[in-house]
Amino acid sequence: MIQSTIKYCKSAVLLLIVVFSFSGNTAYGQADKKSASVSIQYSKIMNEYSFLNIIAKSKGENGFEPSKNVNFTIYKSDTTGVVADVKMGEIKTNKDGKAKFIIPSKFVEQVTTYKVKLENDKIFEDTEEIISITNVNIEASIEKIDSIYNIKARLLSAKNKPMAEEALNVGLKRLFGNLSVGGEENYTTDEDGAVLVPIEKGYTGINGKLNFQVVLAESEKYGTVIANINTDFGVPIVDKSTFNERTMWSPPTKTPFFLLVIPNILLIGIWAILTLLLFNLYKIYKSKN
Amino acid sequence: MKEYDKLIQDLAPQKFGKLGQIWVGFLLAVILCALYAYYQQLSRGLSITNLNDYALWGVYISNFVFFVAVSLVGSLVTAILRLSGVTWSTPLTRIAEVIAVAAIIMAGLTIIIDMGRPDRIYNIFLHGRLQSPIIWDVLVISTYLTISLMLLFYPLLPDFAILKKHFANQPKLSKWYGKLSLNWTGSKTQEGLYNKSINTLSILIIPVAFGIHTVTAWLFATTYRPGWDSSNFGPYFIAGAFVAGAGAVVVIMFVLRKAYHLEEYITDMHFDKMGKLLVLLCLVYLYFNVNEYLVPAYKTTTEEAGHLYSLFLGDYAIMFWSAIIGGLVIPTIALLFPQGRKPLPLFIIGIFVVVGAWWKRFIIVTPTLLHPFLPFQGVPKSWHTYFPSMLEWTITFGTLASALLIMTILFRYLPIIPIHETAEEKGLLETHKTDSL
Repeated sequence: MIQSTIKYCKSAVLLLIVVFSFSGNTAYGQADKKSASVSIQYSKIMNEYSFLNIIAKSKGENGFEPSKNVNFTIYKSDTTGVVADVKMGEIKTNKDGKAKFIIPSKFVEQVTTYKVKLENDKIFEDTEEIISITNVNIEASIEKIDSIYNIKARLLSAKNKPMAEEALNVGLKRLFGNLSVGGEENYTTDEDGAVLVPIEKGYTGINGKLNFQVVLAESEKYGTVIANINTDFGVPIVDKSTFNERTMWSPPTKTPFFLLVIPNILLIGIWAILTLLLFNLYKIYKSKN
Repeated sequence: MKEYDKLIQDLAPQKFGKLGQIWVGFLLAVILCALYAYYQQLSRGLSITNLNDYALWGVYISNFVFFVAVSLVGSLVTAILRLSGVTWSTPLTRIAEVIAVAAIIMAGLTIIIDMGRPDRIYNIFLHGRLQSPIIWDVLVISTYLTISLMLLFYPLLPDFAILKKHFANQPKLSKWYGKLSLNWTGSKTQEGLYNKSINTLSILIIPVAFGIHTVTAWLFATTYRPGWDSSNFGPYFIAGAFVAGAGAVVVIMFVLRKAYHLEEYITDMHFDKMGKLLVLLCLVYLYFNVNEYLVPAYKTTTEEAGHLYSLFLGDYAIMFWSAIIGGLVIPTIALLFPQGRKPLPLFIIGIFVVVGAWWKRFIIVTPTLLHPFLPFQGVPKSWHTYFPSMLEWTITFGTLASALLIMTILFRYLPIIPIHETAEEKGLLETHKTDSL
């Protein structure tokens, strides 16, 4: 009885040693890696390029935190599985957990499926995200009708067919976002795939330059498509900087003249009198009689 | 003893008695503590204070404004009363001039104390902008100090000559008085230069004194903050300065009269007149106070309302009402009665006025800073309030003690009451000259 108890104890100790030895190794295994939440967005800037915005987050002490320096591999994928995935490139997330992958134009087709993979990372589990995008185009231009400038935009499929009943945003690009043009948040395309938005007078721009944007925003099927229109009929912004003027807020070298003249006259006047009075002391000292 | 000799005997500087020595020892002890505290501040920076990003001006700047205010008394008693042909103020002129000099010296030093890096003070002169009221303040303070020193020194010339003779049995002292008298003989040329110079200084000091107080007020009024955003701040500060200065003169003249037995020269009449002057000044200042608080209270913008609430009913209510009622209203009422203008009651009222004036500066400076237009955000809770640290108090008391020490030393070696002028007014000078012949 005692012998069998000792035997069991020995076996238990051995088992514990084995478990602890292996647990050390599994600390670096897939099971203990963190899972990353990955999201991708497709965008296309007309006549320029298309790109994928990749955002990676993971759960940390303070909720979701950006996953920085995470390497992603981007593939052009075939959903049918007939053709193997074609690697398009790799990209790393920045400190905000974001990466912008510019899609080489040769990979853009009528309908393209993109696969973003996180593989063999030391910290994060393997994961992948897939997005399928149908390629569409926006044609945008300025038309002057009855002395009023208008933005005319057409949404066309890859085969150049007009796309009706789609919402397009029309805005004027500003520092912190787009200023809506025409008073509406968005405009629905007609059967010709077109919208016509009048441009109000009085928009200001540096040297009168205005950058309008027509945007098909965050569509599940088409992604985001942006068409830029650059014009120069805005009201030029006049630089009102007082940097070179003599103002109350200028550095000492640009003190306003009145402030240089009046206080200095007063100071010189007072100190001249004081000097005279000091000289009077000297005269008193010298004149005994 | 001839009357002239008795006058000199009475008014010549006297050695410190036991009480005087204790007083000087006490002041030196306070100053030593303050020097230690200032050493701490120099080595550890302004972190030893309770100043912060919001209350960036605290007890030091309040103290500076107080010193500037008290210094105005030099121009009031010496210049304004002299030019108005008032003769009763003669025994008080030296007291006022000494107070003015001590206060303006300490005002300048207090500004340096408020600096985190006083070793960089030369940058004011290298990079100072004439657009900044701070530069105006530097210029006007140095000018006012020079004028005050000259206005103290000029009337002393004949007194130094008198003291040279009086202390003939103390050769060292006599020699010093002789040097300081600049060979004064009272000749016609000297008299002419003397009178012309004093009159010029008396005229000159008035605009400069008004300038220094207005510029100090503009340090606040040119910044857009609740409580300071007032076009009235210049006159308001001048009115307040007259009250603080007159209060200080009343207190000091009472102490000096007692300590040096000057009852014959500083009489009840002088207290009565100073009392009447003080009540007038208090009333003018009260008027400015009503103006300064009633108008914003009527408009009650959000920011002003918060600031006024803290003064009237909030954290600063006790200080505010103590300064207004204890330092202005009660003194005004008490001084309306002849009994209130007797030496002892007036001395007590003077103390109330001076202490009230000091606190008034504190509540002009601090509560406004704690009511910024942009709300407090992302800062420790302790930054929402301000009360000086022990080391700040020590340094502040040190500056007050230094001002009192300067006065004490000056009163030790200078005649408290102008001997020559008093003799002249009493007609003793002519008699003395005749007797000498």
